[in-house]
Amino acid sequence: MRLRVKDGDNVFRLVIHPIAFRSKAFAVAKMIHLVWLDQETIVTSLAWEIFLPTAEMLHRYGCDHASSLNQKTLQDRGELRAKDIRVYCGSYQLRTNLVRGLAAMDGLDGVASADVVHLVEDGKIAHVNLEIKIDPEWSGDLEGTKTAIIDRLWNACRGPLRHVCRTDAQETLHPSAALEIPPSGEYTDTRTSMHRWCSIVRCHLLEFVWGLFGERDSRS
Amino acid sequence: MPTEFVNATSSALTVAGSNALVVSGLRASPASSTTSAVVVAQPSITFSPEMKTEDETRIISTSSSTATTVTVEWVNYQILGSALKSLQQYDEVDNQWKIEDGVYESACYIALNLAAGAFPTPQIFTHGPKSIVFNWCDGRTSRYMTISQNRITVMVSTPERIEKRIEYAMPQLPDKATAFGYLAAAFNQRPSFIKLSGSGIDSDVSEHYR
Repeated sequence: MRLRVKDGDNVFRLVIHPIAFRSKAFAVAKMIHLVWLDQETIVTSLAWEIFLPTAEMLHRYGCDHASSLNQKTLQDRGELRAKDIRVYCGSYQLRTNLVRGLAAMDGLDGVASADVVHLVEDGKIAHVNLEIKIDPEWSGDLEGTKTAIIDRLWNACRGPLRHVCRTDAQETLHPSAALEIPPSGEYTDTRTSMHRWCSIVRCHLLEFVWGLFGERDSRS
Repeated sequence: MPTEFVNATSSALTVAGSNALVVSGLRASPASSTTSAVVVAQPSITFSPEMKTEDETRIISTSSSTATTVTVEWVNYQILGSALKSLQQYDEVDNQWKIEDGVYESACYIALNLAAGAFPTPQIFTHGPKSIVFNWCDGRTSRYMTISQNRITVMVSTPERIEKRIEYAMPQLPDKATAFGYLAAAFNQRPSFIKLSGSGIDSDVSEHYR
């Protein structure tokens, strides 16, 4: 089930060590990590605030995500080497309207559309896809376009919302300390307490409805 | 003061002077039916052991009456060369970050020209099988060079917008023009990106971008 995420909604890009790092240094392009879905579509994964209305819920989601990656590695390889351990470090915020604006941006020739769509993945209801379609008629440098997209996304990011998961609390040099502040600055949650509470209630309602109908739809 | 020049037209790229940088196997040969040249990068391109082991300060003239100094960051470029080599030889189960041989060769060619042109050493912004991206950050301005096997894209951006983005196809590079010259033209706002005088590249590039 694909649902277009509303303009103006917040989405978050999770930062996982070592995926988003080069050696011990934070690497913007590896954090954003755009991958080719097919010959015309570039994607990356984000988390939707509507299902993670508080920083605590967002960070719990991030810690669970890192933990599930570690479990998967353990199952696939039968061992989990120290260098392969995934550690959630925090998140960066993006607004969906800024993502969609990529398609009309000067200097981003070749981008036909940019969108954020809800796409439940591995049972994770908060998962959304950032999808950028490249004009198939365009004959320019796709790799250069990808660099330009990463640059624009980084400039649209706010944050970081750093976090140390309970399981990683013993780390003396936690990689979250290496996260950089993007050019747009740090993220501040400007919602009122009432708005935040309403968001939490709405989130629980959506999860309830998803439990009733959504999982059945996704199985069918 | 020794005269310095960059010659990309012979079978080897040479920076003349007391300690020469020689890269064997790099050749710019004319295309068969046009006046443009095809840059042929051979597999043997490496940062030569003859490369200088210390940085070097050069005095260059920016006009007929003024001169300025630039530092050629040989040491950092040698580190960059090692990094490129390790990315080419990357051998992990998940090799989405390994760069293909053609990309490696193009990146070495560009890096050598940047070094010879006294450009500040770039950071590696990102890399993958099809491209590697060099990056310079200077406060609010970011400069990128996306290098594929057959293309280069130069981009200058600020937090507000993409200021400049220019694509070049490697086979269309004019005989004497190199990435150094193209970058100098694209990045002409910054003192440390000044073109060296006496380079045979200058006139071609300035004509191209005037």
